[in-house]
Amino acid sequence: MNEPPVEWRFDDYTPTPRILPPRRASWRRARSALAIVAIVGLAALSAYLWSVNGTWVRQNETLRESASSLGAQLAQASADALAAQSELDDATARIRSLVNDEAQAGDKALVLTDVGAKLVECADARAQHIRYLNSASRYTAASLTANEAAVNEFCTSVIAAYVDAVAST
Amino acid sequence: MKARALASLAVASMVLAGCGILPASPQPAPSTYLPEPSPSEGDTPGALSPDGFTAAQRMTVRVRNIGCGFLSTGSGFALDAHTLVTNRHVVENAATVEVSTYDGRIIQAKAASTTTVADIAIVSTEQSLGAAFAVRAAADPVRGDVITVVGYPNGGRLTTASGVVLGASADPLGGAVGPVLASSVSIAPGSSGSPAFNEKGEVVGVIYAKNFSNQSFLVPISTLNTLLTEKSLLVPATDSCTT
Repeated sequence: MNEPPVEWRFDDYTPTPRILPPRRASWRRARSALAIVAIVGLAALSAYLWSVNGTWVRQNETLRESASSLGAQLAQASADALAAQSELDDATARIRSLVNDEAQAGDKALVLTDVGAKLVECADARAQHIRYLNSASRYTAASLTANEAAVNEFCTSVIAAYVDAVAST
Repeated sequence: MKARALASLAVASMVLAGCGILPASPQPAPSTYLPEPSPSEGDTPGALSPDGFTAAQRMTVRVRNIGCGFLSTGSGFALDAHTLVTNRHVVENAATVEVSTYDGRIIQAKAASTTTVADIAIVSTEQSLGAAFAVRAAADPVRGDVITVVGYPNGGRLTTASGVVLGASADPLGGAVGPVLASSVSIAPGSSGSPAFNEKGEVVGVIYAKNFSNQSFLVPISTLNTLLTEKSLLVPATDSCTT
């Protein structure tokens, strides 16, 4: 009861078209899209970087010029300030010197005025003593001698003070 | 195939990630580089006036005591426009007291008050002493503090000298009630009444004496503050030529 074997014949073969699976086809499209996106992105990035670089370079040049100009101005201002400070120091020293001269002159004027008043007292005392001598009969010799000594002592001290005052001027 | 796909993905990721760290364009440059004006320091004791003198120098005056048959000088400093502080011994036995300012103005003293508590005198004037006045410290300086003394040593030029506080001491002249301060500042006759400033420019004492070791002595600011608060401790100075 066995059936006879089926004879396979070459003529029966008809080739069928090769069709890729749907999944592999979409992957290829995505890959191409990604490549395009990457190329466009890189181009945009390059353009941006080029633009930014140009902006930085231009601003850097501007800032360098500005810094150089400000540096020159600062150097000039510093030199002017130093010169002004030197003049101010000189003026301050001059003011101190003048104020001191005025104070010393004031001191000396006061001393000389005082000494002058004492010299007048000395002259008055001597004039008085001469009047005593003119009326010597009215006074004792001892009192006249004592008065003369007192007047001489006073006048000697006043003259010494005058000499000192003049010497210090 | 798979490797190329991964490489494309990596490139795309790098491009996208790179956007986050891209350098930005520079900010617009400022239109001016001039700094904003800073707060004026013209009111501080160390500030210079337009004529080049510090406030400490402007408030310090030269005191001339014209007595009966003698003339002596000292220093002092302005508390306000019409009041100055000096030493009692500077104005003692005076017939007239004259004050010279740093810029050469001569001002007659109107009255003086002294105290037996310390070598301090308060002198008032009719004319204004100027615009720079003492800022009194709240507390006395301590050992090691740097002080600067401004005055007219030997009745000469306005001079500044610095030193340190050596500590509290008994009054070497024996006249003060409380302790005084010793310092290393070198002074001379005529410096009496000079203000001593701390590093903040506050008055911390009044110079009044020196010893043979060239140490100077100050009436501490606490004593001066007490005297200015307790006016009853001050009595009018008498004119020696009329007594």
